[in-house]
Amino acid sequence: MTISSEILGPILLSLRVSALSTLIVVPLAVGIAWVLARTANHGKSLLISLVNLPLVLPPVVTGYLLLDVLGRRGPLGGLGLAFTWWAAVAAAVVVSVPLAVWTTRVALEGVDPALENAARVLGRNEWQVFAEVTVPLARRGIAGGAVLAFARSLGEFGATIVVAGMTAGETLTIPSAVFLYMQDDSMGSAARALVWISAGISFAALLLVNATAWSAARR
Amino acid sequence: MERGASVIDAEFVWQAGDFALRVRLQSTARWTAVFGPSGCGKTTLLDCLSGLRTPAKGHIRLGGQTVFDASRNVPTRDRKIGYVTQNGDLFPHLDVRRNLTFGMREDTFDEVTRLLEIAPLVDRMPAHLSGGERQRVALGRALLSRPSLLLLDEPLSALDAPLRRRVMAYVAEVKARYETPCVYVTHNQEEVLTLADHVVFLDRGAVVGEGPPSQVLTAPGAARLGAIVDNVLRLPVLDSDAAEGITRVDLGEGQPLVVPYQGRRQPGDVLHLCIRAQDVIFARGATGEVSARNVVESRVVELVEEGHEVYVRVRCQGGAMLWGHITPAALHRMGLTVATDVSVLVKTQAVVVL
Repeated sequence: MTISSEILGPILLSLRVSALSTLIVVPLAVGIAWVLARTANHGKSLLISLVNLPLVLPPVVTGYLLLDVLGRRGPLGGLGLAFTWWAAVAAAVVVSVPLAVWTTRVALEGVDPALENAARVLGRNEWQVFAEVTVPLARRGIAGGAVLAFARSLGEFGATIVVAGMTAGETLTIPSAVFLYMQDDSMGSAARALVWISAGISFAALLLVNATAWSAARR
Repeated sequence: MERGASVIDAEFVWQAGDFALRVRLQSTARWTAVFGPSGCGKTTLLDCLSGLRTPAKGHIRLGGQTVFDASRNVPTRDRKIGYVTQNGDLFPHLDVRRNLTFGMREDTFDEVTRLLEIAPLVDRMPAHLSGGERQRVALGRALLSRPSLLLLDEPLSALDAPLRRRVMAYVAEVKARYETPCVYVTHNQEEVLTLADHVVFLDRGAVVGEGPPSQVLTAPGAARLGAIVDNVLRLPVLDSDAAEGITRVDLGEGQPLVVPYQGRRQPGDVLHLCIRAQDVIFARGATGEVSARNVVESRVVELVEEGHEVYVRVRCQGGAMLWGHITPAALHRMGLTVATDVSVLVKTQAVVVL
């Protein structure tokens, strides 16, 4: 039974972290993407660069910066999130937002502004236009962004071990567990099992993204 | 809307880069057509009226209510406008029924769907509608929002000619059935003549003429606008010959013009005719045998050269005026000037009875 908890624990934790991360990322990405797609202001390139920063930063650096924010002396230190599974969620959110923003932005930009105008003429305010026309028409792109965010959250490692650590049962996600088990000869088969399970989940997620894109293109 | 109040009372400037739209417009007519070449600012004008674009300065009053001036800019959603565009802009994620009820302010669903004959379509998705069905649904959606003003932006221009006529009949039905005033953007003369009470000419962002349709469309200088390439004539029937498949109309002083057979028309009935300026052929000297049924002695009264386009206006024997559209080369080869005598050749089939 110990083997199964050593494999099952990280899987369940990773799924929980990734699911929560995705729930946070999607509305955040829709908001940021809407600002990027629909407004023309000079702060746009600043916002794009900031959002995309985690894509180019070494993950360890991202984790370090997050620790500065969430750590005891950081601005959000009072929440006591560092080295809990919430810190793993924070790391997953930060690294997957750029991917979700990218696909969501493409989808929002693909919505014909004439349809949004049609809704305005028919008496809708800006929020209603967004909720009743823009989001439903961009739903496939938003869903694609959600799947990508989930997959990326599942694979997050570098920033996570810095800000959340590798405490078994608390912050030991699939990638952390693989890394930890690799250093222990007796855990070789557990590491291998996690590697295949992780690859399988990621592959399924990518299949889902492509299948959605394919059916969207056929419509 | 109060009786006698202007449908539109607007004076504003809208600017973007090099293009400026300067509008001074006051119309008490119920259906106003805005006519002009593409790029003249027609759609921008409608967008300013609907509030989708904001003028730099000026005022807009619709049905006596100020929707825009220095201190006020009523948002589009509160202007109570029904807007139908070239391709309908139906919401592709909603079925026809939910498109129709999207902005419904008063339940006249059955009445409107019956009038436009779209009741059988209500469960379909927009992607599965034909062009004509789509435009009727768009018109129905606009009507159901019980607008104070209808804006129709070339609603039939995406349809081919026979279908356009059929959908135009529905639009005419809407005009007859509803009091709602309308601004109708088009570059089709037939639509103007059938539907409009008043025409506004727009060219390069400015109003260059307005008045009753039959007067404005054939006014001297109208050819300058490039948009006017047709001759619109109102002429009485002389007689018809069923065997030959022709009807003769009076160009003035009994000078006949042969047009396609109009069996149900009696002598004296007035026909609305359209002859495209490019279908008018000029000849000097003896013409010999020609296939065109109409050879009418005429005299050049006006020449308008606009880039590589030349418009020649002639007074036909009998008094009717016609525009012809020729190339600069033809102008010079024939040595046409004002007061030159020419023969005008028009094929019977080139005359369209509206």
